[in-house]
Amino acid sequence: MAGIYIYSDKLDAAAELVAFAKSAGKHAVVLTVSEDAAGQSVNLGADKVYLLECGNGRIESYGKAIATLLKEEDADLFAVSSTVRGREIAANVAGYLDCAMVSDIRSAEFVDGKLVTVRMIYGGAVIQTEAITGLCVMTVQTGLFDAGGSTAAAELVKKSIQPDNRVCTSSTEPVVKEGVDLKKADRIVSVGLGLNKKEDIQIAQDLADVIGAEVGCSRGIAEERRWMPESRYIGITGVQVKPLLYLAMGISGQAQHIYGIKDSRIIVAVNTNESAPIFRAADYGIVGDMYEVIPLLTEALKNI
Amino acid sequence: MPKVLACYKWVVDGADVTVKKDLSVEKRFESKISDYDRNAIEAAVVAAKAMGCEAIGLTFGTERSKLSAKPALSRGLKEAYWINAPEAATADGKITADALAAAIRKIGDVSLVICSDGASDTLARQTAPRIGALLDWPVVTAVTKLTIEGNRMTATRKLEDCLEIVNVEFPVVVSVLPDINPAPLPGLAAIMGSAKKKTTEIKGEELGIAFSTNTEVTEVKGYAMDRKNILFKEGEMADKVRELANVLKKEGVF
Amino acid sequence: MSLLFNEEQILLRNTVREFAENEVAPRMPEILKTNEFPRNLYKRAGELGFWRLNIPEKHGGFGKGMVETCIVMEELAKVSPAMSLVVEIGIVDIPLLLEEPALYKYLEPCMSGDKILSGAATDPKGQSNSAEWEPLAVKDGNEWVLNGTRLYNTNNLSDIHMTLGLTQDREMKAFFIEKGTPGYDNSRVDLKYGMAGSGGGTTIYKDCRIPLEMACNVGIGDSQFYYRIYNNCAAEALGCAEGILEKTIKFCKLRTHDFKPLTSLQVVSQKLGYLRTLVEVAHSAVYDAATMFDELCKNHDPELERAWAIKAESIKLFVSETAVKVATECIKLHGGMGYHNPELHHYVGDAMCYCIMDLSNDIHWDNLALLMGLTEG
Repeated sequence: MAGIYIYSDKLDAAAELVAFAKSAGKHAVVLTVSEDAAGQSVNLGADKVYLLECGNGRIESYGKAIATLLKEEDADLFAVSSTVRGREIAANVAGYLDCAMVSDIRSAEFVDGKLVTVRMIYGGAVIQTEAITGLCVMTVQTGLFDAGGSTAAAELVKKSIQPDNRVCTSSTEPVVKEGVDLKKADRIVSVGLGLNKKEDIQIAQDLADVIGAEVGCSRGIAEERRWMPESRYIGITGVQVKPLLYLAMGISGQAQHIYGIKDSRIIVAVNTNESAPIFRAADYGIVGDMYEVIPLLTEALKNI
Repeated sequence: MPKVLACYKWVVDGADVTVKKDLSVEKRFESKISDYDRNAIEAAVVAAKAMGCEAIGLTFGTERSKLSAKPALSRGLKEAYWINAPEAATADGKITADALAAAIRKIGDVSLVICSDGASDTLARQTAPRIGALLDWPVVTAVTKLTIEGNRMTATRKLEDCLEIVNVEFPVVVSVLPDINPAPLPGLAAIMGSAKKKTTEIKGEELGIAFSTNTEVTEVKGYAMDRKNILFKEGEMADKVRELANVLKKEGVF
Repeated sequence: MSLLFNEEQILLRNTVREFAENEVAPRMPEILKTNEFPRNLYKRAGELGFWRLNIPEKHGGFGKGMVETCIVMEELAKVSPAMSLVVEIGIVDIPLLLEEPALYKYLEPCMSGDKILSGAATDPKGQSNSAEWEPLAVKDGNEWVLNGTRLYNTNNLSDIHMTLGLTQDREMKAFFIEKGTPGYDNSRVDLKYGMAGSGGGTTIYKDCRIPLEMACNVGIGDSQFYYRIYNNCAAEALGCAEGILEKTIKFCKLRTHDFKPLTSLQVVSQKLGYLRTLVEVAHSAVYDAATMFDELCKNHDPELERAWAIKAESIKLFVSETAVKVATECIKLHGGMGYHNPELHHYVGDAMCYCIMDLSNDIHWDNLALLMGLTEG
């Protein structure tokens, strides 16, 4: 039946996509590939949960099968959380359907029977709006939509299908994440190429300690100079954050960095170059040397 | 002897995209291979060496993408193919994958296709899984390490919270992260050598695909952040900082 | 933009540009501060093959010509005139290693950047004043004994040092001295007006003995050797001018006065336009000359040679003076921000070098007048 078919390998994000579907007035169907996931998805407010059963818990193996299912059920849309696995299955399904797909949308709504989406290109400098007719696929960053909070029970249906077993997992190794998940940080002090040496990250850390913030950085600090791990690099190919307060210190403010911070509530910029693009993206700014401003700010905020 | 094929895109440099005051977007011509595609090309060259076969390149673009051939060849590819289609100027992920898959079929005798995770202009990240589906070949994305033994490939995938190690038999379509290997700057020897290598044009109409899509781009404009843009200018630095601290307290961000 | 380049030359240009921006630019603050050139940048230049450009293929080179050489010089100079100079010296001096069998063993190590070849051509009496030079080298058995002084050694890091000097028979030769040879002292470093890091100090030879084979003949006034360096110099000066001009245009677009960019002021945008015309024309002239030189190497036509000599003198004079003018105006446009920032103002001092290196411009005005038939030699 028509509706929005959903997959997310992160269950809280599945709830976000379900809420999106329901608010668009559509049937919401969650696809799962394990008993566990199916069990957890039943109370997200969807209309139906499919457990695609076949002894292969690897979502990437279901591309052809899901494409067939979507066609059979005359689906309107396949909405997938934009994770590594999600992006692969979404595009693979789009390939088997040979249909349209929009990635990492910033907004989506149905208008006159078409899906109208907005996404960012050119590293976050440009916004593109598209209207898509017919069955298509879209991926959505986790945390974009609100979860809704419905716990209405869905119909659980098991469906036996044929997976693609050509790619086999031989092992998985958990990766120990260094430091804290910046996505959850309420306050972030971030350093850019205005920083002269690695040891100077300490002055940012001192400020962060006073206000209960995490320390982050721009792409150059992580990927070029390698002074901080990539988990702390904020930008379009790094982490996208949404803290209450983002302090950009010695960061020029190129589009790809702005993309990573645009959802912050308050952005403060400090840079010696008054023409730096960061100032256009900031709520508050001081034109000055971060080496002078940070210690002064640390003191001022200690006493506040 | 089956070949390794690297897909790459000839793109407009981000610095050549200007957002004007009225938020209209002006962009100049394509002038470079998308940054992470260079890592994919190098990965293909390395894989081909391990397999004792050739690495070739394939791109989908307009007339102008002919200029991509020598830069690609200078990075170690043996031969470069370029699809010449005016439709490429406005192609979306569907049309791009349709064209690339059709060309791969036409070129023939390919056992491993390597793409980057995504292009620097659109970062749509659809190409490799789509090509895999169209060819009905297995797909492995987000690869940071590849080992090849005979007809089998072992790949390490970098997921958000774990590394997944997978095995698959050729043929296969792979997308690699830039972590897989650096993309060294070609030396003059490689640059001079690129002139002697073969470049083949494939005209769009030779592919037998429809170049149709259900996506219509309705608006393209610059992104402008709506922020307060308040600069503290008065007094000594200590005064400016104090003012900032007070304002942040008022904003309730602590 | 230019129609003068083929695809391969454009690829070469883009690659050198990327190398300069990604690998040389970040080292500039360190080079300017220490007045030292990082040895690993020599190695990188060698790895990329800059010093193989003009060497014949059978000796491990690429057999390319002046156009390619100028492209490399220009792109490097946009970011670092000093790096461009250092590479150019190798391009000019390394071919001398082909002149004598005993020198051939240094060719591959120098081309690959493992060994650094430095040069010194200036007698205290003046580089062009060889008529007044005392002999530098006296034959003694199977050795040359060198006594004398050379100014402006191109490098203090050198592994092999080349010095131009007269023998007792007043024959001009290039003598090659390995690092560590007794009686050879190249420790002095001058604090030059520009080109920080490129070395340049007085070298002293005191009873310095080298084998007879470690020398080769050099023809004075040999247009192939001398005039070609004027084309190189012009290409470097071009890059220097373009480099600072590009930075200045970016600055003037962003810097505001009364909330409007500086470029909205006519005096600024017209000045930038004027500087652009100089650079635009210089670019055409440099590559026109380069194309002529490459043709001359294939076809030694006396008419072409005459035209080339005048062209070479002209571009050396015009582009070096252009570089000084452009750099000076650009620093003024930057205001205090330029004056106080070595990463900007180094272009001014660097540009002056082009008016002095490869013979001071006044000598060139003199020579040009001679070529034009206005004076008699």
